[in-house]
Amino acid sequence: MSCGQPAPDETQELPAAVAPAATCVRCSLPPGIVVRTTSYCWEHFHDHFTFAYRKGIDGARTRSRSGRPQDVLNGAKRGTKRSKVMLAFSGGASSRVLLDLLQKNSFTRPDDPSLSNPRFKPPPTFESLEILYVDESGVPGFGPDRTEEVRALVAETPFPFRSIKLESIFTPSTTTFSTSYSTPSLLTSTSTSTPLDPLTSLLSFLSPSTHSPTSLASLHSSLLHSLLRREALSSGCEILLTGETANRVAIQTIAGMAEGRGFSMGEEVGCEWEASEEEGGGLLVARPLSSILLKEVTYYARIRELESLTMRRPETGVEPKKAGIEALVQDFVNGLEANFPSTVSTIIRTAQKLGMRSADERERKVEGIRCPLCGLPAQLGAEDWRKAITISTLSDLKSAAPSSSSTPSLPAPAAAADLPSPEAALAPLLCYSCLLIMQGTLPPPRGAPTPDEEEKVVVLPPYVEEMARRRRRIAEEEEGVVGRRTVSGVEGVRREVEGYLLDE
Amino acid sequence: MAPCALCPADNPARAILRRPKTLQPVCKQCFFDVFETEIHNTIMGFGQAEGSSADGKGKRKELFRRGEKVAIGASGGKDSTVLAHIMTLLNDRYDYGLDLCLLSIDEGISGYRDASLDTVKRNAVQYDLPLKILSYHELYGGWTMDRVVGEIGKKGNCTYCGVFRRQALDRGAHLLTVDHVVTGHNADDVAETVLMNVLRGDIARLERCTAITTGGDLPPELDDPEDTKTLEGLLPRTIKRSKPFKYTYEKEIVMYAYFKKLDYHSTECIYSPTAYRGHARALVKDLESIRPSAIVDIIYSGEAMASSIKLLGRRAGGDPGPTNEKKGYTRAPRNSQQKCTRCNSLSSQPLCQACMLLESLNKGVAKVELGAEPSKEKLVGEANGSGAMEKLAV
Repeated sequence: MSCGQPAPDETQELPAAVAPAATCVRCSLPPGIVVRTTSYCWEHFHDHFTFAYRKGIDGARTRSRSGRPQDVLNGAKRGTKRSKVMLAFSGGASSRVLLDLLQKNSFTRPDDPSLSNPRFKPPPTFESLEILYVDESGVPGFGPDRTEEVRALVAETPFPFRSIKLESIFTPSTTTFSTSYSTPSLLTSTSTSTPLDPLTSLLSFLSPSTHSPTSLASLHSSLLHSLLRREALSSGCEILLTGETANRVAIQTIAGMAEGRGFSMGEEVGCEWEASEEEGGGLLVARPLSSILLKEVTYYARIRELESLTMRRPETGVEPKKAGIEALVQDFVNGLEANFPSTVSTIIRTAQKLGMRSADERERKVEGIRCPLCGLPAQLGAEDWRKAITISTLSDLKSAAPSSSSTPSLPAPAAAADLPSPEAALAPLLCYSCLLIMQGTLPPPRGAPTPDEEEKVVVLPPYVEEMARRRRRIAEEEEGVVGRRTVSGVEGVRREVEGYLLDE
Repeated sequence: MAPCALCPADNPARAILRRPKTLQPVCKQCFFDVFETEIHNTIMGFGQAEGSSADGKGKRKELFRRGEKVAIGASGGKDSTVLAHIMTLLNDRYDYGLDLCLLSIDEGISGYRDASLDTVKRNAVQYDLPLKILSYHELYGGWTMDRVVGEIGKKGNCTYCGVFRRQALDRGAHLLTVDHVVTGHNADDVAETVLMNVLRGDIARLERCTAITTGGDLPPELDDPEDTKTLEGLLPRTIKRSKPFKYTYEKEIVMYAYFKKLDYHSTECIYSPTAYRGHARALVKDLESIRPSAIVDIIYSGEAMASSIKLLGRRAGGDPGPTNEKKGYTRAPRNSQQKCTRCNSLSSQPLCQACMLLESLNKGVAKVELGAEPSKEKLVGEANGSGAMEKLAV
């Protein structure tokens, strides 16, 4: 009993796996697959699988029909135009299956002989679909470019295919925005000299000598998802679909918790969420397969003979227990799931009950705070919290000896050793997880000469600068807030009273 | 000789340990300073992520109020011994104005608790704190844990022990007329519980296990005793329980006890659970070895996830959540509290869990399903026929 509440039997082992039935749960045919202790023949599995997909795509479908929230308010779109969709396609089994499901169920009518009115042909769920492949070969350890292999996989589909390199997140750039890891507050600077080429910037940002494998994986993921959102918006798409399965979501949930991503967990693992207004707004990011097990996806792909690529992980040459948090959690969840098939579904059911900060903000009609690095909801004051709970410098404490007066005085945790100008510090703007990554850089190798500050400066993607600038602008505006009215300068005051002014 | 990373750079002392939480090499004095200050920060409310709102303007809530009488739940183990030491030290150093005492529960586990209780008695003398020891034997009609295990076996015995201890602490607190009980649950314990609750899908318990203070019967935002404007301030409350070590690593507690040469008992409970919690425990240890801050990070995540349950708007799974149609917030209805018909303690059901479990032991029914609600008629009828527990009720 460690939570002060009577706990259920903690000594009890998880229930043992139940032996599967010898026939399909709905007919007498031999089963092709056992899903969560239920046996299905192919035909009935197909029904079950398609139903799960339709449930998963329902949010995107509704969005496509009703339009963006701002369009709904204007009454401009209902019942007329559908949304453009972008599919983030990695070439793996999940995204290949998602593409097949979209093609069969959301763009052409399925061949269903039981239709009461075969002449009735509903319009496609979405206006159009664009397939986007992000080439990550620039990241060390990811191997050669596989764009042509991926293009071949989707050649027979009617959808346009586009490939983009991960390093293009560093374009367009006329300046070089960088931060120094040598300062705990992550001071930033903007250089107007000739910007570095994108690949060099990427290698600087994802340098294995600066970050642990866990941090590298997290930074890589932030870059990838920011790029996908940016490309979807620039292509005029209102919906971005990604192919995470339930297994992936379960791993992301546990790994995300261990990496301090709890504040934005709903957005990271939910079925869908409204991406930040800061990035242009109006983009729904959906994960239609997030309730479907990898095992089901693999079976569907095998029976439908859908070719896919084997996904490669960066070669680190170390065992999962040391290769990073995500690799460790993947090993852990897969191990549990092998013995107890309800593990993944229990984790995702837990995660799907969570509320989302983005939905809450929309409901309360307030503008939320986003982390400039990962673009997800961030908790203001994460840095202060960390300083209070994990003290890494005692200089401020030692300079202020404990008071023996009746009112104890504690130096505020926010009082850092270095006090940079607030407009230059990146740390106060970051979410807790990104703060951990950026402040937790690796020490120089033993015996190596101490690097000067120049060696610890890394280039940041331009979107970080843009979002940081926006956050600072909002903060400056809030400083001028008195009560509920914003002091907006002479011009603002003039606008408010101009109805009463007479011509001079 | 590695220099201490926390000492002034011009004259650092020699580091004698690597801090488990940050892996910084530190000297003994800096370790003491940082260990004590982090706990002080937790007590002062700087370290409560749960209290912060999304905009960072959440009200900082201190753990104690001046003049409170606080019982330290003491088992004689490392956590509670260090807790007794730290509470005495910080209360003196920062003048919290707390009236401290030790409260110990004798579960009746021969070879384990009898030895650790000797340590508690020595601690009471060392820290000059009054000590109250309550035993399961006197509270539960002769049912010691040795007898319980003899009746039901080792499997599931922690359920009985946990429920009985919770009630025993409440009764002891009433006897000592304390307002607050502090326990030695450390960050490793909380992180394990957070992970375990996610692994078994218990989101409601996730909310409770991440709270630094439980009990008091009011949500933290309403728990202001000086607020006499609302009726809720006048309602009876259960004893508050807090975990000042919520963000303190188990390894650091051991190191602190070691370097301070504290007198503690280091034997594990002989009926200690291993199976279910073991999965989460192993994962936490592996995560910590990859990133030392992982334990605190899990707790931060658990707190943030627990607070997200109350958010408005859609759930992550797509289901509709509470909306903001009405102005202001609508609070979820709380379980109606009532008095246990047998022992008078506060309970959400006619019979509290401790009395239900005791009933099953007395009847010789070894297994009771927790959470299953027995029929009211049966329970009331049984309660009227037995007065043994009423005599024990405080």
